[in-house]
Amino acid sequence: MSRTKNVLRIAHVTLKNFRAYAGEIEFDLSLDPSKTITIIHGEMGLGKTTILDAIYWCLYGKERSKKGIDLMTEEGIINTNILENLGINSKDETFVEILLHDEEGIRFKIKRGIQFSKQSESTDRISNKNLGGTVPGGINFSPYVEFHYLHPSGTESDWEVFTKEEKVQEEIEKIFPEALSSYFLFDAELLNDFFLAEADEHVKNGIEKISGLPILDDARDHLKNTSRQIQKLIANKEVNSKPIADNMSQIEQAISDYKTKLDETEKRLDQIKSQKKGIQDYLRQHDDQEINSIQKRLDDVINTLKELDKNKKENDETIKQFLLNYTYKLLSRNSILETEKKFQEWENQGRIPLAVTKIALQNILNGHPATCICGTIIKDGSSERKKIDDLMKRVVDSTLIQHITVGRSILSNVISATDTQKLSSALGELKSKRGQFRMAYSEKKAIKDSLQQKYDNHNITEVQEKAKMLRTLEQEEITLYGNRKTYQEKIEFGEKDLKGLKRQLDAATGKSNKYQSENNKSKIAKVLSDVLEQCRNELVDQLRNVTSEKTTRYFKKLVSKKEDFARVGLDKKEDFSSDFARVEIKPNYQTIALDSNEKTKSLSTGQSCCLALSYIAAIREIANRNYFMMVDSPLHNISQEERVEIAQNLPSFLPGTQITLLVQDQEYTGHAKKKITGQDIPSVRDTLMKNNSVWREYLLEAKKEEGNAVSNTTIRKIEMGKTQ
Amino acid sequence: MSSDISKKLTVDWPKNMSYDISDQRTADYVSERVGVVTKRGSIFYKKRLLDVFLFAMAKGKQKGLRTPLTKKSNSMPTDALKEEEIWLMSSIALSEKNSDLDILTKPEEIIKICEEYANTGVKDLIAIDFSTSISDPLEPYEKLMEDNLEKLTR
Repeated sequence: MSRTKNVLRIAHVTLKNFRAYAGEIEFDLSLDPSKTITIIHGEMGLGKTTILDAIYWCLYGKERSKKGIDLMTEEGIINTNILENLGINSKDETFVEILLHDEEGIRFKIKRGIQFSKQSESTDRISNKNLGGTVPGGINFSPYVEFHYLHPSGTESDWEVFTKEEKVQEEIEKIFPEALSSYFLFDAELLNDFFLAEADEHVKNGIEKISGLPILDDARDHLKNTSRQIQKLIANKEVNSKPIADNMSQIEQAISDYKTKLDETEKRLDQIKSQKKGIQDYLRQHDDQEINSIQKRLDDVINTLKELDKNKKENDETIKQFLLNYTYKLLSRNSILETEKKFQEWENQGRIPLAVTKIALQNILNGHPATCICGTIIKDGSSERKKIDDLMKRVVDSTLIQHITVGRSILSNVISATDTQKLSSALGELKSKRGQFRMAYSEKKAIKDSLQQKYDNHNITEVQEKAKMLRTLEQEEITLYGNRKTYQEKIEFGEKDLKGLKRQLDAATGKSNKYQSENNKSKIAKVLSDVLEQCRNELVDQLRNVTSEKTTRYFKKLVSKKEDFARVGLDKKEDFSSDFARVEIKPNYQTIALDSNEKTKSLSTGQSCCLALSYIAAIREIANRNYFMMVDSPLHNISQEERVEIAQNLPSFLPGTQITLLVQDQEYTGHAKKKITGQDIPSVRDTLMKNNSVWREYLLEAKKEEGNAVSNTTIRKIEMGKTQ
Repeated sequence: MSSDISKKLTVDWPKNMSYDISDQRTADYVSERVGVVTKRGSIFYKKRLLDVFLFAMAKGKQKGLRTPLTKKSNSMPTDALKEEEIWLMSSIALSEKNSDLDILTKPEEIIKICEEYANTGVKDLIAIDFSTSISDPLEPYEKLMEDNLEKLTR
C-alpha cells in the first residue's frame, strides 16, 4: 500500500460526547494552501485544549499529556453529564473522527470511539484508566477504532477499512509516528519551556526521534553484549579462564545494578526538577523580598497617609474657625452698616458732639446767673437758654460718647474684616488646599489599598513552607547529583575493568585454536558495535548542525521585523535581527541564540516562543513531513506586540502548512496601547484579517439547555469579515 | 482702656441672656450637657453657648424675623461677652428701624431684641444641623457663607 504523506491536512473533525462537548460538534479545517489558517477561539475553560486532546486520542488511543504520562483526571473522556444521565438499558457513544487529505488526494479517515450502555443503577464510581477518569458503575464500555484508506483513483465504495487496534496503530505509525506528534499537535507549554531554558530535553528528544538513534543504540548494545557473551561462553569451557569469566559476570551484574540505580536517580532528578520549577514559579510570585518590599512601601504610604490626614484635619479646623469667626459677622454686616449710618446722622444732628459735652452744658446752666464761657449772661426764657435746653435733651453724656467712639471703631474693624472680596479669596484658598489634601489622600489611599491587597494575598506561612520544601529538594538534588556521579564512575570503572578482563580472557582463550570460530564471531560483533557507536556520534553531530542551521533560518524569518528588540536589553544595538547571527544547539543540546561576536543573547518570552516555533519547524522539515500544525494557546504569556508580530509572520513562516490556532478570546481579539507612546497595537485578529490569512474562524460558546444544570460547549462558524 | 469702657457699658446689663427653652428641640440643641456644643463633628463642638447664640442672632437678624421667648433659659452670663460681641449685639439693636441712640442706655432692650432674633435663627441652625452629613459637617456652613458673599457682592 503506497502512502504519500509529505503534506497532510485535516479536512474535517467530528467530536461526540467528548469531555466538554455533549452531543456532536463538527468543523472543517483549511485545505487551501494559500489561506492556511483556521482559528478556533473562545473564553478560557470552554474546551480548546480538549480539541487537541481529542485528535491525539483518536490517533493513538491514549490521552495526551505534557510529560507523556497518561492522566487520570476526574472527568474522563466521556462527557460526565451524558454518562450521569444515561437511563437503564439506554446506550450512547463517544467518538472522535478525523478526515485527513494528503497532497496527492489520498484520504484517510480515523474514527475512535467508545460505545456504552447502562445495565443497572449504581452509586459506585469506578476509576477507569482507558476512559481517563472516574465513571459511574453499572455501565458497559466497548471501545472501537476504524482506519479507513482511499486511494485517489478510488471511489467511495473502494475505502479500505481496518478495525483491529494493532493494525490501525501500525498504519497510523506509518503516516503519523507518535514520536513526532509533539511537532504537529502542541501547546504553549512546549513553547514556554524554551523561555525557561528547559529546551534541552525537547531538543534532545526531537533529534533522537528523527534520527532513529534508539535503534542504533539498541543494535550497538546488542552487538557489544553478544561479543561478551561469546567470550564468556569460551571462558566457561576453560578451567584457566573460568575465574576471569566469573569475575566479569560479577562486574557486569554490578554495572547493571548501577545502571538501574542511575536510571532511578535520573528519574528522581527529573521529578525534583519539575517540583522545583513549580515551587520556584510560586516563590517568584510570592518571594520574601517581594513581601518585604511591599511591606516597606506599605509602611511608607501609611506614614504619608497619616501626615496627609493630619494636614487635612488641621486644614478642616482652620476652615471651621474661619466659618465660626466670620459667618455671623458677615450675616451682621448689613446691620453694622445701618448702625454706622445712624451714628453719622446723629453726629450731624450734633447729638454726639465732639467738643461740647452734656456736663459742660449743665455747668453753664448751673451758674448764678447762668453765664457762658464767653461771659454772656444767659437769661431764663432767652433764645440762648432755649438752644442750650434743647441741646441738653439730645446730647449724650461724655461716658457714652467715649463708648460710642470705641464701639464705632470696633464695628468699623468688623466691616473691614468682612470685606467680601477678602473673605471669598481666603475661603477659596482654604478650600483649594483642602481639595489638594483630599486628592493626595485619596491617591495614596488607593495605593495603600492596592499594596495591602497584594500583601494580604501573600500567604507568608505557605511561602515559608514552600521555601523550606525547595531547600529540602535542593539538598536531595545535591545528594542525587553526588550519587549519579558515583554511579557513573562505578560504571566507567566497571567498564574499564571489563575491558581489562576481556583482554585477559582474550589472551587466555586466544591461545587455544579450538575456539577460533567463536573468537572471530566475538571480534566481528565488537567491531560492528564500535562502528555503530561512531556512526551514532557522527549522525548526532550532523543532525545537531542541520537542526541548528534550519532553526536559525526559521528564527531569522520569524523575528526579522522586530525593530524594538533593543528595548528588551538584548544588546545595545538597535535591531536584534541585524545583530542576531545564528542558533546553536550544543553537544549537550543546550539551544542558544548567538550574536555576530558569538556571544549568547538572552531572549524575551516572545523571542523564546519564536525560537521554539523555529525549532519545531526545523524538525518538521528534517522529518520531511509538512503535516498540519495545531497549536493550543500559542499567544499565551507573551506581549501584545509579540503576538501581533508572530501573527504577521506566521503565514509566510510555514508556507502551505495547514495551521490551526486554538486561542483565547482576549489574546485573539484584544487590543492594547504602547506604554510610553500610547499608540494603539492592533489585535491579532485584525492583523490576520488585514493580511487575508485566515480561512475560517470558529467561536466556542457555552450553551445551557433548558432543564440542564450543566452548560455544554458548542462551536459556531463566524462569517468572515464580521465580528462575533 | 477701651475694654474697661465697654465693660462699663454692660455694668447695668442683666446678668444672663436666654434661649427659649419652651421648645424641646431648641432646649436640646442648646443644652450644655447634651447639646450641639458636646457633639463631635459639629461646627460648635467645644464652643460656648454664646457662640451659638451670636450665630443664631445674626441668622435671625438677616431673616428679619424676631420670635419672642416663652420660657427663658437664663443660661448665658453676659460678663462672658467680649467687647466686639457687645458692639455686634448693640449694632443689631441700633439698626432696628425705630431704635434711637438712647437704646444704648437700655440694655434689657438690646438683649431682648438679640434674644428674639436668636430665637428665630436657632431654628435654622437646628435645621442645618439635621441636614449635615457626618462626612462633611462644614459643608452647609460653607454654603451659607458663600451664598451671603455672593449676595453682598451683587
